[in-house]
This record gives sequence, structure tokens and C-alpha cells, in this order.
Amino acid sequence: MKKNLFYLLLLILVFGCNSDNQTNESENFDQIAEKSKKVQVAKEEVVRLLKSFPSPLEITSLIKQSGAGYDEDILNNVNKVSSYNTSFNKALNLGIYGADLGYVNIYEKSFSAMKYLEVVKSLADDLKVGHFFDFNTLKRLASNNKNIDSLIYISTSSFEKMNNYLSDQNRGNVSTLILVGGWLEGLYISTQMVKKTNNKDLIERIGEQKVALNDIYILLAIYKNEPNFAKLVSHFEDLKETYKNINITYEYAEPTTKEVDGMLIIEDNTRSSVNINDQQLQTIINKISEIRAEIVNTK
Amino acid sequence: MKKFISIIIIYLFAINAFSQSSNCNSFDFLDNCAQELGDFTFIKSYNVKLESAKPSSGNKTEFQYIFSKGHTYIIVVCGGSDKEMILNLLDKDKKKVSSNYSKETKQYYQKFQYNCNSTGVYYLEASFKGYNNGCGVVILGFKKPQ
Repeated sequence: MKKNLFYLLLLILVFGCNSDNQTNESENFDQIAEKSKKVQVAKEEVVRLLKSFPSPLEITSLIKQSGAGYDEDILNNVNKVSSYNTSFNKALNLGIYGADLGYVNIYEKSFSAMKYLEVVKSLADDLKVGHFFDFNTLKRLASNNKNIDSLIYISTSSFEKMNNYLSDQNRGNVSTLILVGGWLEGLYISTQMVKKTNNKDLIERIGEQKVALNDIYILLAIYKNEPNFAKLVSHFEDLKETYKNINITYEYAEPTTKEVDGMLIIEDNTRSSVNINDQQLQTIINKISEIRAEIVNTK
Repeated sequence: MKKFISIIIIYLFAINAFSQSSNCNSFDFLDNCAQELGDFTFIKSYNVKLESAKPSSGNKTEFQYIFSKGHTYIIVVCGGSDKEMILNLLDKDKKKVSSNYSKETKQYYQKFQYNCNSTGVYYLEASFKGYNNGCGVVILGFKKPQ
């Protein structure tokens, strides 16, 4: 009996421990620890950066606020979905369609939302992350304009769950492409709207993307040695160059805090402003169109 | 014999404790606390998981987000236990903008609104009042135009 218990304990201890036992014994323990620390740091850095991007919903809501009308022609056509044949293109275009879905949701176009949900589902399934989207619920919500807030919440949180899962599975490269696609599409829609409206607030938001662009570039550069990434990184290097002379200035003032109906409200008294001239804006519009066209028209 | 059984029991307790800590699922908290967003639109959530067994991680954790000028944000703090989560908002220079906990009045707020007038990277620094471990979620929302 004692002997059996001893073996049982031994088995639990051996198999209950982590898989480090499987690593090559010739590797020095310090090296292994250092390696895993580096992998961990890189993973944490990727997650930190992925979570810092502004949501495309914010910029599309500003477009609506500017008075610009709904224009589905500027979005990526849903019929193109079947032409995306590699995981790289599927991930980038999943991000693009995700941002398009956000745009149609903000404008409360439920019929279009259904179409964009279909292509999101198709690409997410291909990337083996479709299970994060409860498409029956999403479609039911999309069938009624009154459910638009729930639709935005469930679709946004599904994208977030999917991205968290991808990062946990060491598929941060896929997650990065989805987020880059989403960010790019938000910016593309803004630039197309600026061409029509010349809205000052929107132009300023386009200039402010310099802040996000720096983080996006850092993120992309992590994967620059992976297949297909090199060209995308090169495009973003060009885009960074385009943004180089755009200055964001700050006038600092202490924030003020007040309580209204039990809610703490903080007023930011610092003011930021963006200096961007017409030529710089035009160069950005052209570059964004070029990168985006390459992504959506690829096969 | 008793010694062996004691060792096994201790080991199973340790496994159980580990699995409980692994169950700190931010999405359970998120779905429970999302209603606190009210009429704000959900943007993102951040999982807060501090473990006293990992002193190297410190007793606080930090996230970042790019806030945009002209937008009104809400930050909802949702702990997974009766521990109060303290959230400090820091600006791009890591200067404290505000907190959901006032040391002076000892007042704790589950959520606060930030009317942003300067675009930049902001930092969200989370910790648990009186504890070096805890579990929860920070939810970020913005007010979309009607």
C-alpha cells in the first residue's frame, strides 16, 4: 500500500510539474530562464501595445459627428472576401472588415451590418478563431436598429476575446495584422471623408495618428523577419516618414475634478494641437490609399 | 502512511490554489460589469491579475491607451472580490491625472469620466487597496455622438 502511494505521489510530482523537463538537458538552466524571460517580455510588450491602439469606432463616430453622410462605397466590398487566400491577407482584411462593421454600426445600418458580419465570420473561421463570435446572436441584434448598442458591445468584445486568445496562443502576429488592418481602415475612411468635407477636427485626428503610428511600427517591426511582413513594414516606414514633420504641441494645465450625481468627472485642461499643412495631408491621404489598395486588392 | 497522505493532500491543495488563480477570467467580470458603462460605448477591457506568489510582478499593474482630444471617456473599475481596486490615470509624461480613490476623503468610486482635451498615450495603473494580490477588470468606454 505504502509502495503504491509512493508511486502515485511520484507520478503526480512528475506530471504535475511544467514541461521544462522536456527541454534539452544540455541547455544551461540560466540560458533557459533567460530565454523564457525574453519570450515573456516580448509577449507582454506585444499585448501592451495591442491594447493601446485607439478603437476605429472612435474615429468613425467623429466622422458621423462631423455631419458626413454614410457612404458604403468607400468600404471594402464584401464580395472580395473569397479572394483572400493566405492567412496574412485574411488577418489584415479581417481587421479592415471589422472596422467597416464598426462604421456601419455607428451609422446604424443594420442591413449592411449583416453583410459585414458574414465576411467577418468567414475570415475568422478560416483563421480558426470564428468560435469567439456568436453569429446567431449578432445577426439577431443586427436585424433591429434598436439593438445597435448591444451589437457594438458584443462585436467589439468578441474581437477583444479573439485577440487575447491569439496572444495567449503565441499568435500575436495574427493579432497584430488584424489590429493594423482595423487601424488603417479607420484612417482610410477618415481621409476619404476629409476629401469630401475638409472637416478641421477630422484633419486634426488624422494628424494625431502619429502617436498610434509609432506604436504600430514598433509592433510590426517585431515580426519583420516573418513571411510577407517585410513589405508591410516597409510601407509603414514610408508612412512614418510622411508623418515625421507633423508636430503635436501641448499646453499643460492641471486637470480639475468634480463630482456630479455621485460620478467623478475629470476635466483635462491640457490642450494639444496638431500642425499639419495641406501638402502633408495630401501625402498622407495618398500613402494610406496606396497601402490600403494593396491590402484589399491582394490575392 | 499518514505522512504520504498528508503530502498528497498538501499537493492537491496547491494545485487547487493555482487553478483558482488561473480562473481569474476578465471576460466573466466584463460581462457582469459592462452595464456600468451606461450610455457609453464599450472600447476595450484590461484584465487585472496580481499574484502575491509572484512578488517580482510588484503590487500594481499598468496598461496604456491612446486617448483622443474631444472625446469623453468612462473608466469602470470592477474587482472580482470585496477588495477595492485603485486605478490611477497618468498622462503621457506619467504625471498623475486622477484616481478613483481619494486618500483625503477616503472616497472610492467605481467609475469616473474623463473629458480629454489632449491626445496622447495615457497609462492606467491598477492596484488593490491593502493587498498585493487581486483580480478584476478595467473597462473603457467612450461617448458616441447621438
